[in-house]
Amino acid sequence: MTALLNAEVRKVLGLRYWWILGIAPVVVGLFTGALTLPLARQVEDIVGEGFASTVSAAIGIALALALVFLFAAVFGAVNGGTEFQHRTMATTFLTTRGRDGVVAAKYVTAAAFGLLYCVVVEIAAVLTVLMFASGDSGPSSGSDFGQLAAVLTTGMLCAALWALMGSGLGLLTGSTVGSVLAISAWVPFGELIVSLILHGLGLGAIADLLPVQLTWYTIVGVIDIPETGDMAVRWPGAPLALIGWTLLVGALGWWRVRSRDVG
Amino acid sequence: MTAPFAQAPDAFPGSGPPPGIAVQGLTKTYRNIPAVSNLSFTVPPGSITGFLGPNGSGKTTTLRMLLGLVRPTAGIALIDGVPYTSLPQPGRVVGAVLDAQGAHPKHTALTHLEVYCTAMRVPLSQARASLDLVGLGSVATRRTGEFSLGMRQRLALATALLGQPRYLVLDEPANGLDPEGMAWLREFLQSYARSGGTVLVSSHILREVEQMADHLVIVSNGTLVHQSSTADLRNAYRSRVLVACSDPARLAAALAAAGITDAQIQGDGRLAVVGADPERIAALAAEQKVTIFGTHVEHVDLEQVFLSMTSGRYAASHGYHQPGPPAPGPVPPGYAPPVPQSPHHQHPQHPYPPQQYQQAGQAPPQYQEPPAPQSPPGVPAPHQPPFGPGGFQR
Repeated sequence: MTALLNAEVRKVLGLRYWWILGIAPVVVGLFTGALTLPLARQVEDIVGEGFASTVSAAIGIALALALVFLFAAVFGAVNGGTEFQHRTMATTFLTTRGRDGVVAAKYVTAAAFGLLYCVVVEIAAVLTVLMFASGDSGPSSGSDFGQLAAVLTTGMLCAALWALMGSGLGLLTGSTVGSVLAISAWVPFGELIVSLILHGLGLGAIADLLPVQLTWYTIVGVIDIPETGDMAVRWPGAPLALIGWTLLVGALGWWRVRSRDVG
Repeated sequence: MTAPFAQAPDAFPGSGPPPGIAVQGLTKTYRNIPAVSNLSFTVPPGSITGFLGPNGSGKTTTLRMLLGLVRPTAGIALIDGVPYTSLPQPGRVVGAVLDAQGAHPKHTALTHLEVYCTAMRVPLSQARASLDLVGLGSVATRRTGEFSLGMRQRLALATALLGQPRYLVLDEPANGLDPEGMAWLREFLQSYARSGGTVLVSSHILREVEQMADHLVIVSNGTLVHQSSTADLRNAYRSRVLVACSDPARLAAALAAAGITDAQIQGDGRLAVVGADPERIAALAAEQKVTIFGTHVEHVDLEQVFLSMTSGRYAASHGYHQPGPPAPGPVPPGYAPPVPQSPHHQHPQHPYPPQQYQQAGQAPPQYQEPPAPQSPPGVPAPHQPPFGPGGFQR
């Protein structure tokens, strides 16, 4: 298994897409705080002291995390589908015993790179917010830092899960382009549209169990704010349901790879 | 050159050499369309076996089933007595070249090979050695997307050789290779087999493998039509001498007395003799006072034998039809409409008859003979001419 993991990492590092995909969330993580902080400071006098840094931190990290999830999933989809697209899967299977090890190595690699994206972006986002908010009273208490750490940790979990979902989708479809398009459509607006339709049909409970929604329930659920009591899916239900989605997509991808004829 | 594989076949633990490759009743059906039907053959260890058949005859599907990439509908394929997927380290037992596209276009050749070295737990130095072996050492750091088809074929072969396997399974490896590359590949595979390796190489052109293959497996429409050693196939379709003489029966008796028993009187009265050269026949005829009016040596083209065995899957219309107004009156397919000629318009007589593009397996009426009962349908019997263009040549 170690050999397969090393081989998978070599495959990824031998290409450029892994760092290209990481650029967008890092840039957003770096600059969202810088952009939102001046805007928030303009209303700080009305709302109260410390508001600006708190809001900019929340918005900056939330935006950065949203992009991390998207690009982690895209990474997984590319990593999973590219071998079929470029017809290298046959060579991969011919040099290893069985297909299970290959799939497992791909999933572990995807999760690892999803985590890597998240860690790098979180560090960039937090450092930027702290730098631009220097002098503010902001999130300086132990409780605030605890909640921030909880958000960042949960974000890492979600990034890994989204990378796995993307990888599962790539292996399931065997198409990089199709998987990337599907993820790029679903995450920013596709799920929102489906959710609105479901609510319109009176199936709002199902809409709450869609993966993007569950991701935000998972993250917001670790923050100690009164509104969390109104969340449709709370801890630990939200992360468990998200893990369920990951297992479903991952299992489908695994099954497809095991059963498909490689032409 | 050193042995291309780490472990010679006779170095196996246990008794005897490895059993080679055995395909037993392999069948693959895609949505009720049979691609391969009950195919069985063996590849003896230490041999080069040519796996021949026209495009679409099921060669690639068979090889992919052999290598565990395609799940058979029925049957089994064994390597060293076990399915490929049960081999502990398949990449070190079998090297396969199935597709020249098997490398990521953005990877360099060296990176590509290092990936699979890592997967197979082979030292990374083997990547460079394999590239040097196939003549790609100078382009190791170039991206594979910049490679020509021939270079990609060589890279695929380098990948197959990484684990220094005992078996090589190659699916039409000559595709994209120039004549020099093909000669190199032939020499390489012969060297590999001499070192004890076993090669199964597919092609749709007999000539590509005829010179190097010890054994031939010929398939058509997903079924086996012929399996033998190349020498046996050549012996079965030896040249024959057509003798026009004053007394064919007497000459045949004289030949039989001399141990040349394969002599048959043809419909045109000539004696067809297999296994004797014209000089020997002339000497025997002179002894028996039989006058020889002429001899005609017919050589069998094995490619034509192969075409005769495998024809019929995609029957093309005869000839090429020029677009344009239809010719008056019925025109046989494949023939241009008759050109009206004045009595004074005489073309000179051609020194050679015009080439007729004839469906392989169809015989001119004057050569029609009943098929031998032991041959598969459509396959000419041994010593029977594989009728068609080039079947027998002067």
